[in-house]
Amino acid sequence: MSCRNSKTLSYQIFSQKVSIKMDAPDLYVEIEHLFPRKLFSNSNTLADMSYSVKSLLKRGSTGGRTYSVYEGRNQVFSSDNRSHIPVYLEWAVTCAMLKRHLNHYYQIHSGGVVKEGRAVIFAGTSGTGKTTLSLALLLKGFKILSDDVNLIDHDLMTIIPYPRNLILKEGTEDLLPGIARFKNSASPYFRREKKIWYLDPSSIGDKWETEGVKLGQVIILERTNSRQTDIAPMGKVESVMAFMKNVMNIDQFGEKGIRFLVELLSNVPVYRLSGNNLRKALGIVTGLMGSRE
Amino acid sequence: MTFMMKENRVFKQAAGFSFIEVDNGCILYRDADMMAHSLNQTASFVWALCDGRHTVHEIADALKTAFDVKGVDVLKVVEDIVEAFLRKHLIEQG
Repeated sequence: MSCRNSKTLSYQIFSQKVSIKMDAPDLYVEIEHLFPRKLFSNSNTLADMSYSVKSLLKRGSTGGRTYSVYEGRNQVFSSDNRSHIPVYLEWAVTCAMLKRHLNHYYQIHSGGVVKEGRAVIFAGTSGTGKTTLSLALLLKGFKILSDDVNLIDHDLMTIIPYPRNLILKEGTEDLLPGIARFKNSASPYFRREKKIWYLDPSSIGDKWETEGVKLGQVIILERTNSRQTDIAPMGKVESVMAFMKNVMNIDQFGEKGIRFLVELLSNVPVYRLSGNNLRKALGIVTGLMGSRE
Repeated sequence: MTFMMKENRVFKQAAGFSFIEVDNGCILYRDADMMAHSLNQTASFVWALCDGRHTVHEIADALKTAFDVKGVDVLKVVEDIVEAFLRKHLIEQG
């Protein structure tokens, strides 16, 4: 039975429609910002993915609630901490989308900004500085694509950001004090007991690039134990091999995918930024990029 | 494991690899196990001549001619590359 306050939010992400039926009114605002600029109003359209969120008073409790997420009729997540719900939903929809529906794009684990109309991609695994570098360049006046996942359209050879919120961690603010001004429009959540802020990039106005742009430069981020933090140009073979490691769905494409990457990177400078000093890496990258486009 | 090289041994490329040429070398890719291997220019040259006909000695001679190398033990370079290929199962005895 539906709750009286039930509402359905519908998102369209590329060609896919996601509906989230909300029987937890206290989470409506957060869920409304789950996928920036992707809300659409026609909720009568059949959804490709359907979720619902319910909240119930805990038994014998003096006001605490338990929140549950359902995919179709199956309960897939439950928590007493309301902050966990939008984090889970955002992650679940993103994973399902990337796994099942967006396989015609090359999915790059990367941050990225736009310089002179071309994308500069920071490819690297978690913790290598993708978000910090992307945000640092946003503060320098560059447009930002995504801080985590960018897609390559192989027909147009353009880079498109996957529409996720930017994730500001507490440590990021120490390195980039200027980022504090964005925290007013960011929603705080706790994930693994660590506070992070989800910042809807549409709240930074025209500094969020959502259209496809051609690739201009790639910087491969590698965290090493070396005291030296340095940047160096890479040869073509090692560029393709290093970039390939950050293409999350490269297995889907096989040889065709490798040939595509060879072509994509043939006229694009690729650098390796290695070391373990993020502050120094920031200085190197902002120096390489200049002040603004 | 060390493989004893004889100059007159011949090797052939392991089955199923596609040779993808890149500016400064190549990438070998095999769909069956989705493995990609990167080779520099010298190793690409050696791999191309592992055709079941050229001996290690002949490959070394061809390399000397193609790259005009001086002051390098080219035969030793080729033997090392062949040994590495064998370890990675990129070639097999011809």
